[in-house]
Amino acid sequence: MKENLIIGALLSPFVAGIIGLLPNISVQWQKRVSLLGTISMMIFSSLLVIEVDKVGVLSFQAGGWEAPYGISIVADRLSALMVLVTSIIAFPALILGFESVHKDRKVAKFFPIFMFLILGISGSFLTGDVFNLFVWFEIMLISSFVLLVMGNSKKQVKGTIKYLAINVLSSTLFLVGIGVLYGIAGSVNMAHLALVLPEIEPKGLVALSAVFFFVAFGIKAAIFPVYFWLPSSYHTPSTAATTIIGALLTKVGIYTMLRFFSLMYYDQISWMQQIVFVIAAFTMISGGLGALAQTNVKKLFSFSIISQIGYMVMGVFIGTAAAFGAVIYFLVHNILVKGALFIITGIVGEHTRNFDLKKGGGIAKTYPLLAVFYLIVGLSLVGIPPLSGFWGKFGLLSAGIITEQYWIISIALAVSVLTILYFLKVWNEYFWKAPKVTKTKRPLPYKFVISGSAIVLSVILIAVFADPIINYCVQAGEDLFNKNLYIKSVLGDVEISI
Amino acid sequence: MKTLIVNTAIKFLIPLFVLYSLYLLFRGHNEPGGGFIGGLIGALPFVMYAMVYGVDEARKTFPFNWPLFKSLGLSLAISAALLGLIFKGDLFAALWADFYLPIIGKPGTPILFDIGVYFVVVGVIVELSYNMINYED
Amino acid sequence: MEIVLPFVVGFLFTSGVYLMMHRNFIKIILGMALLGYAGNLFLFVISRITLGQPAFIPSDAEKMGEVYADPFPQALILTAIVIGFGVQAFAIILLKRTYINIGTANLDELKDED
Repeated sequence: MKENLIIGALLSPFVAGIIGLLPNISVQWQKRVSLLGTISMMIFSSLLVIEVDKVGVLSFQAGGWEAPYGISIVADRLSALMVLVTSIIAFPALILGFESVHKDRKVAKFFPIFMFLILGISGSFLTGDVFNLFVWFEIMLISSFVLLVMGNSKKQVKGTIKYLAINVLSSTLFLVGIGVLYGIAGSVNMAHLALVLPEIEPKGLVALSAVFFFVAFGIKAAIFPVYFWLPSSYHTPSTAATTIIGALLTKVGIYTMLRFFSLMYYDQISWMQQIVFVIAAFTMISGGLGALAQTNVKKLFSFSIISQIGYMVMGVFIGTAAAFGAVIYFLVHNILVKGALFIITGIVGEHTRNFDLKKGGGIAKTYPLLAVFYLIVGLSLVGIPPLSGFWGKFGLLSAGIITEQYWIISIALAVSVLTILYFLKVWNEYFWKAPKVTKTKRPLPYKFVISGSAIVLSVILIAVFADPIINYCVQAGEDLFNKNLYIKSVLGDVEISI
Repeated sequence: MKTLIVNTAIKFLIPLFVLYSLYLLFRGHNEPGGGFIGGLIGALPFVMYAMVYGVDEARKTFPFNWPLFKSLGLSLAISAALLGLIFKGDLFAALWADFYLPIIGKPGTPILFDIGVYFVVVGVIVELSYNMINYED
Repeated sequence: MEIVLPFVVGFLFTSGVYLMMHRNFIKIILGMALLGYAGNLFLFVISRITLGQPAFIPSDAEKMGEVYADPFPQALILTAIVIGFGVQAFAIILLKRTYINIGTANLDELKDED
């Protein structure tokens, strides 16, 4: 019956979304219900993490249909952790939305759609079925389209059209990948595929489906040649929407890569490794340089997302248990830190009505609390030792050195310098320098303070409790690497032959 | 559209369309049909009515709360899933009664789920088409 | 006749991608629709077409006949069609809103203001 925790974590945002969609429900009640949904999801997912840490993998089959035929829902250590992090980041983003959304957006149904976005994201983390993953992706994407365009300004429409077009393309590629996979293996259950894919001939078709998936997820994760949609759409919507979309959507792409290329394709794709490293290197460098060139804070951090994605793609394709563990820790760190950066600069921007670095300044004097928040989070992003970014990068780099991938490691180290540079640029321009126009200080709304403190607290906590979290992540990485636990939990002990 | 034939015919077609959509909905478990297809056909007459007489007139003639349909449908579908969980221990597990009803057949949670889908589709399609037809807002 | 279908898939993909390169939003939507058809048809073709056989058990039989159509890709395609339908409906409403609010459907005329 422990599996019901998974259902609870999925059901909380879903029910909150359904209630919020009722006609004539007031915005006030929409807010209450979505807050309740988020908190209940947080409780369920924390319990799920605790439970999964005891037994390894929890899974159930929808409708009781046995594994390769029905849809499996699986929570291993990685999935459970990702769902927990999703609910943790959803909470401050929601609080931020309470304060900032109603001011300048047409808000009809912002909060229910937000809940459906959370539902789509957690569903993508929990499913054990390739086609079901496609469906969760679409739930997530359609919600994010609506959140991006809500408000209907010129730049939002333009950003959304690009985002829509590229994502339709990526979904089609994903669908084609599923088609190839079903054509060669006759199954779409991930655990089953992990068993049958190594025996399939010709290898060329297996590789073809891997490439389709890599490109489809790469577009979603914004890797090098296909990232241009991200900076041109992520800065347009309201800050609450940018936070959740910016922090989580690209990471879903990374999560699926991690899942596919560890569980299903692990032995099939060694030829891809060096190619992907080149792509990852370009992703890191171009993201970092792009961030340096921007003057809009939201755009700057959009490029910063891309740069960090490069690290994760690199980690996925180093392909050892230690590297998987490091990627998982880096994912958690990155979701929280990116969310925190968007929230803090969003608070500053919404409050002073200015997202431009050149016009900004003096925040450290007028709102010292926000400056302290930014400093903590920014140092964490750069990777200064006691903070979380250090442990993530340390894990990735040491995994790379052990497997002797020296050139990509040196590029990753060099890009860290770019990270420091753009972190300092924002600090100097936005927080430290004397403002050109002195604005009168207005007290911060308490919801902004709650939202900022909550996210900064979680960033500090993952650094303070780095030891148990890293242990958990290392264990999760080993589970991914060994994959027997996952397959056994889904398929049972029976030998299945096609 | 001011054509006498369509104007007159649509009034007789509405019940036919709705009945046919219900027929498709209930045969859907064992034969081609089902909630989605039934819902599309069930939404058609209301959309056609709006095309003939205009959206405002259509909203006046059929004062249903269309947005409520999708919430209702989603709740029906999720309760079908949860009933399976509560009584059989598996989410979405099918529960069947052991008697037959006229027209509907053997009642069970899959039918409930299909009815939910039907409502969502009707609500969404009608609302969507009214939005698309209406030029004024 | 099955040999025709891969070419149709290829043609649909080509024209879909070509249309999506356009600056005009209407053509982008048409491109999205064609891409959707291409993907669905591809799923249909690659999972081996069975002609003239049902995908379900006849009511007077106990199990499937010797030759039967695979119901699985049909279910996948139906789902994909429904999802594509939703995305296209969203895109069309977005197009309408854009045209009413901003007065153009051409992406070049939607300049970024910052």
